[in-house]
Amino acid sequence: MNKAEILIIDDEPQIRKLLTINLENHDYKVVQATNGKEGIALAAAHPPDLIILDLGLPDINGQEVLKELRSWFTSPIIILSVLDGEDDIVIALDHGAADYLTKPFRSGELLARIRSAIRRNQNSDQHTELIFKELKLDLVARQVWLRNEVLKLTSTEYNLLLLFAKNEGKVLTHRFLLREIWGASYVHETQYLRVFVAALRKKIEANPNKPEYIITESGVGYRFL
Amino acid sequence: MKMWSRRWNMYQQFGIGLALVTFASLSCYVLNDYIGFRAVALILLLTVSFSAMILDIFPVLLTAFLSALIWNFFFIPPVMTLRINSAEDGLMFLMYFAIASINAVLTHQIRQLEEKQRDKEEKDKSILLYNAILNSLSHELKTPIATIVGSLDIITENKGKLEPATIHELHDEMAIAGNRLHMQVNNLLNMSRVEAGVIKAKPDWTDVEELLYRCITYFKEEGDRIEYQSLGEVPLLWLDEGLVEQCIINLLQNASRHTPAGTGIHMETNYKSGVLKLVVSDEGPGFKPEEVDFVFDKFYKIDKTSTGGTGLGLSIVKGLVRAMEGSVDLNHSGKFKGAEFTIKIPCKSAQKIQIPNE
Repeated sequence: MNKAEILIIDDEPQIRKLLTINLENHDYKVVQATNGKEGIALAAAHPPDLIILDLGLPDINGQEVLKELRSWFTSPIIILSVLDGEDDIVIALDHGAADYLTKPFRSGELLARIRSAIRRNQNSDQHTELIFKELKLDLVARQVWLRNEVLKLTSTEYNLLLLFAKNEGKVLTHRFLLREIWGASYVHETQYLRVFVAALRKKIEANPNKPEYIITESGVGYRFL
Repeated sequence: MKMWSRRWNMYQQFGIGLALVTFASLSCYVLNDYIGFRAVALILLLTVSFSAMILDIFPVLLTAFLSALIWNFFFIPPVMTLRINSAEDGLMFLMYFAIASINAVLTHQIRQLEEKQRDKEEKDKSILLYNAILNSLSHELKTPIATIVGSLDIITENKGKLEPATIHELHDEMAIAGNRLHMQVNNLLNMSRVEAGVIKAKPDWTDVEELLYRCITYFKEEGDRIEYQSLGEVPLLWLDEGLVEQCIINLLQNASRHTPAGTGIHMETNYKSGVLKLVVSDEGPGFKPEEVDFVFDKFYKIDKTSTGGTGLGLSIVKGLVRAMEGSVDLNHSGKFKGAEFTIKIPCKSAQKIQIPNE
């Protein structure tokens, strides 16, 4: 029913096959490229709805492919990376990747990332209300409700929560969050983020030590679910 | 003996040989009147033998040649000439030279044989250790692979004949095996990173308590055994979050693997005078005191236990902690009766941020 088109750029035939079977099984149309050049050419010839890009390509560095694509391709790009490449992941995210997955990844995780990336891309229309599990954000009144009770948030806490909520399901890097909330000169002041995330968790999480809304992605950033 | 000659270079060895011969000759020159020039030959031969024990072959040959000349020149009458008058003295001089040379060559050969033997023993020992490592490793890697391949075979060969419950069970086994394989490979990769010395701490402001609670959640149901207690407030610390996390996870994994199900695992933190202290202790059997020195060794496994580990977890911890300029210690029987690991990492703390009234 959705027939969204996905371009896979990965040199490993087994990974391409696995992704293709999985995606076609969930009604996506799949196009494959085995290297960076081919990927860029295919994306240019017929822009897909989403690109899955492996960072370790044989011909061009995946980061270069991402930069090249990002200069004209506006739909989401999801990065595939090997485990422990946190630096690479952060760089890719800061250069406009929509999300990332580390190999080996679980199929459910992959599909969730794809769905949420495509949805965010389509849903740019203005909402006046956002609802997540027991949390409700009233964007007009700038008010947050948790289980039908109004939460008292400072304006920074509210802005942070709103930023998270608007990017539901997407990993947000420290750099991105700091720039959006505090400004470009604060991109290295991670301590602000730590303090405010802790404060926000205390207010919205049932158990702040086992968060269900704001999840930490170690070495990368936070993800709001 | 071997060590001595290795400690000196060739020039030093020649110098030592020369000094020995000079010293012996001078002593003999003084004693010559009392002992006679034939006894002098024996003392000089002794000197050559001694130098053969501590020096390489060429310096020894030099002492042999030199002492023969000295004996001839200073001691065999007529003295102060190289001339020898009696046939008996000439024979003695030749024999002296032959014995000294044979002495040098034989000693050298014996030492070479010894060295070869020692090298062989060392090689045998390392082959033995290598085999043990390889056995353990191939076991740890091949067991999950065998599980996956075997389960797949069962499913393909018995198409339509298996109960859904059985298929489900096989899938579960494959998933467990896959995770296990993933973990082992990660351990090996981490170990090689530690060994290569490429791990560099990339610190940032870290909420240690949040990190510890996050580590607990990785353990799913097992996480219920883990309990965290803060011994005083821990401020934001300038730490490499990823490295600390890896250390804690490895220690927790070690604890949960080697202690009876249901017993507690305890974490404690403390930040005092610029040092973060992290303690992971369990209620298991602990370690024997004599094991403490080995637990951080690569591939060390207690009693060859088959608990699914590669014996790398703790040595990775040691390597990572070192990369953060910290230390890790084991108390074989700690506060909670079991093993107690203490990590100490020096790091700076953040000023408390004043949140403005908004």
